[in-house]
Amino acid sequence: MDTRVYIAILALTATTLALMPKLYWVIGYPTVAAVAGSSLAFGSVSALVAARRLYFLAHVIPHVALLAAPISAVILGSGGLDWVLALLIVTVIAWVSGYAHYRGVGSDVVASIVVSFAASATVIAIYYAQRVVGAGRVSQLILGDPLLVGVSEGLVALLVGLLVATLSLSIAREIFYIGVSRDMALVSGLRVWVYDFTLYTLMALSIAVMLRITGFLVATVLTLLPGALAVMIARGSIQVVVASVTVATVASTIGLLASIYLDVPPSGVTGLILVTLYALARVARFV
Amino acid sequence: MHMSHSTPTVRLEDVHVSFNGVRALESVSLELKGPGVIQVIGPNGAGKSTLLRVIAGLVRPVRGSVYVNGVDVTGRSDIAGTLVSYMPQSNEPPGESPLTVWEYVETSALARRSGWPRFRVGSVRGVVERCLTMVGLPRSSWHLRLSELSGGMFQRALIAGVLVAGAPIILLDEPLASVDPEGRVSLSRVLGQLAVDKLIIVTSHDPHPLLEYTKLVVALNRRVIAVGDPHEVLSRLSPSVLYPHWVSEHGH
Repeated sequence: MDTRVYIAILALTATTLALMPKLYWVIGYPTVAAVAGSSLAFGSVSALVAARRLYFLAHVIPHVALLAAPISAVILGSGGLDWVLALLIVTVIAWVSGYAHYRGVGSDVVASIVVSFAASATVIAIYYAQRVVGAGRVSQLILGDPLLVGVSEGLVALLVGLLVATLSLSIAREIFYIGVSRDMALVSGLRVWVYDFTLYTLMALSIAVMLRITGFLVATVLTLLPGALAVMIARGSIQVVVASVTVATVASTIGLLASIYLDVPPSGVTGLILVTLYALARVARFV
Repeated sequence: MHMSHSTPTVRLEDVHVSFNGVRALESVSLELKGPGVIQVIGPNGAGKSTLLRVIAGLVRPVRGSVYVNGVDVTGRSDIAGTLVSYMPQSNEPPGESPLTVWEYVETSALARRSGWPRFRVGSVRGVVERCLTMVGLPRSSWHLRLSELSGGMFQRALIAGVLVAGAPIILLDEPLASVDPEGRVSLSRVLGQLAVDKLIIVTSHDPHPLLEYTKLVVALNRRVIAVGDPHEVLSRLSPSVLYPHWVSEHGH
């Protein structure tokens, strides 16, 4: 199918969903802001992850974020600036993981070590965090729930989403270029390490801030699939980022609506819709 | 900006390269002067690609130094990149790359300019068009995704990305490997024309398509086996020395 057909279908769906202000009033604008922010952030970062084929980091960073959130909650309590400390922890570990890969350590090795460490330490961190912030808040980190987001959290998510999307669009062309041949990019004079570390930072920022909205489990899906789908259907770096954000927005909005009408967890529906869209796009290539 | 230098020159002094304890290059000393085409030939595993990567500053030798136009570029791709363009061995496009041919070549041109590439897009339109035409990519393919190209067309797009930089020294790793016979002739002609004022160093398993434009052949098998006039080197070295696997499979 032609690229324009895919984009037209996605744009039509997104517009239809956007023209439901009465429903959003019922849902609450903090939730709408949170879903918009997470879609912008995950959609744009996912496109860059697909371009650089850094899929292993899409597994590593959510694990690290799930470790950082309860540690921060234990130290600073919940609902304040604990997300800033969590962001710092996630960013540092994302940089270390990315640097190891940049220096030639295999992605499987990096993922095995960091994920194993983070998963084990998370069990201990959650054990103590439950005493401080309660089991409900900890459960939100794992399952995610945009309907529980407060005004300040929604606003932060929207601002972070806009920032991540703007930066992603700014570096998309160079990131895709590096994805073709890192060696050629190095000799061409591009500062590859600057672009790579910017991408690691954007991933850390998106996942650490959006963890409570999407949950740890679906954060991985949102980092992997919108971009993987967009690189199949779009043409050119900017179009890929736009398509990826649109895919993430459509899936997240349908997930939100499903949670209201069908009483199912929104993140789960969002993830399943993304898997379905990805599978359909794969099948359509052979038709 | 490229440093002005009347004769493009690459000099390697006693270069040794090892990967995980396995020697890839041993005591390689060479002085390659342009303009002209220089072919590096040798069997698989001879270190041809490594030699180009050393010159491009992508591999730091365990011993020895590399100078390009008199500038020490040993292990410094950022410095080497101001003087050389490099195309790695690549037989097929990266899977799912949505970058278009035009966007790829345009970014190759912009990457070398100071400032943020995207603010200077319009300034390279002419040179991008010229390079795409030069390598024989039809206009209808300019806005295809790289992943939609055949192996030969992808190779041409990569070569256009190298040419657009305008560097005085061009390093091409197996540039004709995936190109059809007709394309080899036309691309060889393009490289021959460029070699009028540039030094073009090409690795190759089959030196013949480029032979009429080649001024020097370097035969390599981790060490330098021979350097000299193409016909002289090729007639002096038996195929079993250069291509032992091929000869054992197909006979002389």
